[in-house]
Amino acid sequence: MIEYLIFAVFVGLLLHGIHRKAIARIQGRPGPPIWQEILHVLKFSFKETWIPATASQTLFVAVVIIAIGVWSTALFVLLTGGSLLLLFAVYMLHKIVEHGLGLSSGSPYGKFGAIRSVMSAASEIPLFATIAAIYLITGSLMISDIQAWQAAHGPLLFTALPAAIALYIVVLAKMHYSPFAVIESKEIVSGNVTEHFGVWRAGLEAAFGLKTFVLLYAFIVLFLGPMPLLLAAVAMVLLLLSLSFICALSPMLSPFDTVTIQIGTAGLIVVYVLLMGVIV
Amino acid sequence: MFDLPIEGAELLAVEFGDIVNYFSVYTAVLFVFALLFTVLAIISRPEKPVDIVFGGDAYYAKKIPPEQLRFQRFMAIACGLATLGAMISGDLFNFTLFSSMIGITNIGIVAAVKNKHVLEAAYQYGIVAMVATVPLFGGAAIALATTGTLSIWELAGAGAVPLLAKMLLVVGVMGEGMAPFYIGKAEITRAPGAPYVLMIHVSSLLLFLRVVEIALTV
Amino acid sequence: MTMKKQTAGAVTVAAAMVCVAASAGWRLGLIETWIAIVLNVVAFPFFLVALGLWWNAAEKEEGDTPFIGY
Repeated sequence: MIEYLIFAVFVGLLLHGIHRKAIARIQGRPGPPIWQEILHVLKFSFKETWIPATASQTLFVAVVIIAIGVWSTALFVLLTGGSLLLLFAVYMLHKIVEHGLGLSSGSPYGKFGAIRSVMSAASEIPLFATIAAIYLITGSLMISDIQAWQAAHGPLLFTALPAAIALYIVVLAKMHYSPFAVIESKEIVSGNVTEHFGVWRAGLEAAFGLKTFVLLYAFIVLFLGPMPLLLAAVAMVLLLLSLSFICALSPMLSPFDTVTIQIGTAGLIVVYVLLMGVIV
Repeated sequence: MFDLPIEGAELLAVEFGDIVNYFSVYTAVLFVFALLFTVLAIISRPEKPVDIVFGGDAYYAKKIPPEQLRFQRFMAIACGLATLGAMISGDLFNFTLFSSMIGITNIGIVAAVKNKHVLEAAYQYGIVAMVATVPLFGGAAIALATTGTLSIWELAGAGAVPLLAKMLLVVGVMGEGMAPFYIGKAEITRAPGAPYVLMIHVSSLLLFLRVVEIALTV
Repeated sequence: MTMKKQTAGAVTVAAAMVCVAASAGWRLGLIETWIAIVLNVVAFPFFLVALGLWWNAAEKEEGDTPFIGY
């Protein structure tokens, strides 16, 4: 079981590396080697570490541990075919981690990151519309049932395209360098992770690697259906590359624009779900 | 009762007559999370906020009176308890009561902060939360009127609760602190006392997660 | 505030043992899936953080301050 976790952390970090490499090549730069993010985590974990004097000490450390724990839970929910609702509850709880990271340090930059994270809470609304759509179609929220449904009826991607688009935007919002990543935008230094250095940052990066793995894999499982591991890996990389293209070619949006776009998407999906509820 | 393919297996049920408070895999995870952050609010000391002076290298540390932080902690713990209640409640009416209690304590957490922006945001949030109690209790009332019971345990899987009641419940909870009404709350985050301010977000996110479960179950 | 190297090491080893024991127990069918998951989810974060703290903790209490220029 622990082997799944360690595997997912490394693959997630590798995916981050591929993401950076792809963005660099699209922008005409050589870019770092794809294992750079793994080296990053190791590097951070070897750095001298302490807790800033201004920080709320317990919270400062607890948030890092919670971040890793939360995404480990998500991985196991996904692997055991548990409840989709639980998987996305975990995704929402990640929001708390973001707030906690920013608020706990006492740094103004962290605080700005946290406030932006509050504002971008709108990104969670498309998620529940997605869940509603999937529930209306498959009649179940257990991931194992959804996979069984897809094995019988073909991928949900074609049956529920708008829901897939909504989830795609949700996944996009959580990627590094994404147009929606206002909480870690560079004009506020590193946003909510500004004050988490050394081992804390290593732990966070590991958690974020896990997060990327879980989100991409969840998209594959939910919308493309069960497939062999190798094929799933290829699909994940392709999905990631499509996200990299968007990240590379679009500027960072202003916080209010991100909210507008996400609420707009959510509104469209809600209309879609209501229409489907009426027609079906 | 929990053969519903929504939230995982049922773990534990505590009966009070027809009101059955229950833990499923889903609500148990939410409960543990709420408990975790309530404990964090109890044991962690607040941060010492630092502000930068724009246009220069200067920064200054803010002094926060300990009495204010003590009150914030009290309110944060009260908020945590209300959240714990909302997570395990097996009764629509109790759930709405816990929701409105969360709304009140959320204002309480920042009410002692002497900062214009924070107080203004808290005031606006208070109005939204107050208005939102109408659809919230209205949803529960419609559910009672159409089905004759408020017990989620008995309503589960029956599909007897009209869509309107579910929508009102969700709207009510959104008013207690979810997007898009969340925007009013963004400024609240300026308040000092990270572990306590964090409780505001924990409670409203968990509340929303729970109401989604309720809307899908009943 | 820094953790002693010994403490960090002990936490790392304890958490690693919990993770490995839970995983092995699950593989052998001794532990139910959900117990193994809970144990792993609880222990893994501590393992990761303590591991980092362990290998960067200073051996000496207070090292020599390096020359940082005039």
